[in-house]
Amino acid sequence: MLDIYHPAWQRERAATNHDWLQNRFLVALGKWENVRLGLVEDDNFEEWFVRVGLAEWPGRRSKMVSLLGRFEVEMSPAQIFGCPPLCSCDAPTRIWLSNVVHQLWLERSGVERHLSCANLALEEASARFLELGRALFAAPRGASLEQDQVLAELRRFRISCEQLAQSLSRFPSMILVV
Amino acid sequence: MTIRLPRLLVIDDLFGRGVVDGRNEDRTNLCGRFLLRDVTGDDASSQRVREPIAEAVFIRGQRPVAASIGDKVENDLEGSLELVRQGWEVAALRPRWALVLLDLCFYTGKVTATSGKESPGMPKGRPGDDDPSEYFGLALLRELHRRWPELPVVILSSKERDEVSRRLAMAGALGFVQRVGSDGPRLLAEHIWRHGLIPDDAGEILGGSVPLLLALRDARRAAGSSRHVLIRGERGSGKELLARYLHRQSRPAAGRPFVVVNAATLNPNLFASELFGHVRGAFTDASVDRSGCLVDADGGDLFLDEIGSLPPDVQPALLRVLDRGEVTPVGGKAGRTVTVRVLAATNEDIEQGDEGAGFRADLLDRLREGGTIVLPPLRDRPDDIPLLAERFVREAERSCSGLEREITPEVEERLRSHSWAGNVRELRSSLFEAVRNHSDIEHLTVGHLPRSLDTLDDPGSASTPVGSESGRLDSLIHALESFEFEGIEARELLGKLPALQDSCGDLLARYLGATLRTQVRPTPDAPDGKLLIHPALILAMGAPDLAATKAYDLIIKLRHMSTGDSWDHDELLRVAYERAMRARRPASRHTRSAQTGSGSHREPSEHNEES
Repeated sequence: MLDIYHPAWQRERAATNHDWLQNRFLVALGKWENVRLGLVEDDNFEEWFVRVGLAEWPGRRSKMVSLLGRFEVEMSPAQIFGCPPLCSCDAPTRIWLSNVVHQLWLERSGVERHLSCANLALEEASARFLELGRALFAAPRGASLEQDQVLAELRRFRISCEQLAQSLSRFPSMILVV
Repeated sequence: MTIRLPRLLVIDDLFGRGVVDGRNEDRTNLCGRFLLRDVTGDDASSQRVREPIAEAVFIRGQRPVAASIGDKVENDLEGSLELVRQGWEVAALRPRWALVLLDLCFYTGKVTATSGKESPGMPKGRPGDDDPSEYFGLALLRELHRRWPELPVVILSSKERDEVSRRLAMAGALGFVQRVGSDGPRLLAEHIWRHGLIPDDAGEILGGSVPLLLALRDARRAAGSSRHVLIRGERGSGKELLARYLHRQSRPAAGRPFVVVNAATLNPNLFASELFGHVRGAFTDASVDRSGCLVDADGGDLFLDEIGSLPPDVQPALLRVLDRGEVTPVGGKAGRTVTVRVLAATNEDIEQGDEGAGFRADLLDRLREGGTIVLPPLRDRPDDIPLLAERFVREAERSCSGLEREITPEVEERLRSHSWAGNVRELRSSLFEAVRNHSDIEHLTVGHLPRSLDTLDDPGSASTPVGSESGRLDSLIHALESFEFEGIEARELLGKLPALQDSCGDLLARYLGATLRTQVRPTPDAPDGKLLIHPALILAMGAPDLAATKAYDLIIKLRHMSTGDSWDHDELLRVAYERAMRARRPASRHTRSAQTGSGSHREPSEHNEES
């Protein structure tokens, strides 16, 4: 049964964007930055976060790719034609009407724009993640703050993740009727 | 001097939750991100924030606080409000909440293996939880604002601000900090400074009462602008100290001049010269050029006290300075441009002045374009009196080489009940007089106070809240004593004894709680206050000779009489009872066993009950 107010896509988006990216990952990235700046002391944090926290990124990234790829289908009002009462329409009517509704929705809700922004933000964050990995690998010990390439890349990665979180937040949370 | 960090309360399901057999890593990271010191007390994190902006107590706002897989998590409005109340109304042992940081969306429902794996103790959430119109945070916000309108609340959420902005503002939120965003930590620090109720960390203005903290907050807000500010307050309430505080809070404060002029003490003929300066030969005694206070204060603040005494002929020239920033010395032709913020102060009702003979309305408007700050009279902040008294007595002892003395509870009560027409200045001079006249004593008693404080009430004072409270108590006692049970029918009398017992026990508990609250005093080793149980019981019994052991026994006895939940909910009562039990455990056993015999220190009522 389709729940237009709480569709599965929205639940998955909330788990990925709100619960993980915004509430946990970005907060931890911000703390890491403060640790590197010397504002916070936590002996094992960096080692733990690189090993456990950062390591989550590739898996979460795949989930986000999947979410963005499924959005147009799963959140389209055309879904309503698969449920009662509209599913009882005759097949030709159902097909052309659901297509019209889908096209109208694409036009009116700026789906393409949202998707394009989110995909770009995800690409940028992924690129920054790779740069951060390179910086970590090449980091000399005892570099000054100005020369701290890890800190510079970490900051860029955090900012790109913030933009990604914002672009993911812009998608509607329910199936909108046009 | 130790700088006390603002104390925040964070209500958030994720960061406030407890973790069974572990610690809340998310909270530790949040504190590391926003530079907060976690003082909740349930977390053994090794994290150290070098220069925290605040200390924070975290609560979940839900039950259970620490949930395991299979547990159902539900929002807990009343429990959350009680915890807020304890840190706001019952702020005797610790400073009040400077600010509440409130989350919006609280996940409820069952903790599953999947949800618990992602974040231990977090439920998977129910459909309505993330509906903006149904946010639990919004319901909490409305209730907080209804019950404690002065308690500052700022939203800390990962939600988009636009989504709920209007609703939040209408429900009383003062600001919104998004957890996501590079600006978050800076914004939080700014909100604490702008909206938080924070004592003066320099310790020049003493006190933590809400009316005073609100005035300090107004001053900080005004400090952010270069506009002129009007400070109102009764004589002796500390208007100059507040102006200095405002000046210190301005950025940058260092190097900016702060010049004080008291209009009431200046010779009216020389007023213009003092303010604007003069050129040589401008009048008989003007032998050299002299810059005035406005030029001296260029680039900083001019504190203009008693502006009600400003001569009418000087007002137009001052208005020109405020309008154009141009100062022309007396006798001079050319002016000079200055950048001065005027902090004017008065205790007069200058708005009512007759224009022409009194105070110009247009000048008044200029002087308060940056806002008006009202300093509360001392009678409206009796909770600050013990702290002030402690400071003044110590100062007086140092100035006259007197012995260090203890301020007795009776003195404190007398000081609290006086209406202080002369406000803090009068309190200070009274205590200096008391110490100067009795330098060789170790206890300051009522008899040492100046005779002017003999009456509880000042003739002509506006109000005496403490006196009226004791009047209410007398009425209550009279009502209890005179209540007639005659004529009440049997069916109405039926089964009322347990309820009567409960309510009497609870009434006594609340009375004791109120008495204890009056006896929380700052000491060098406990600047936030130390609970003095024995003096509280002396006060409650009105018996200066009451022994400490007897005081503890009374607490234990009152606790045993009460079945209500005051003893569980009132932190001071709980602390007092625990201390009494520790101090009197063997004696209590003795008393109990002796109740059938002839225990020498048994209460008459105990004897009657037992027999």
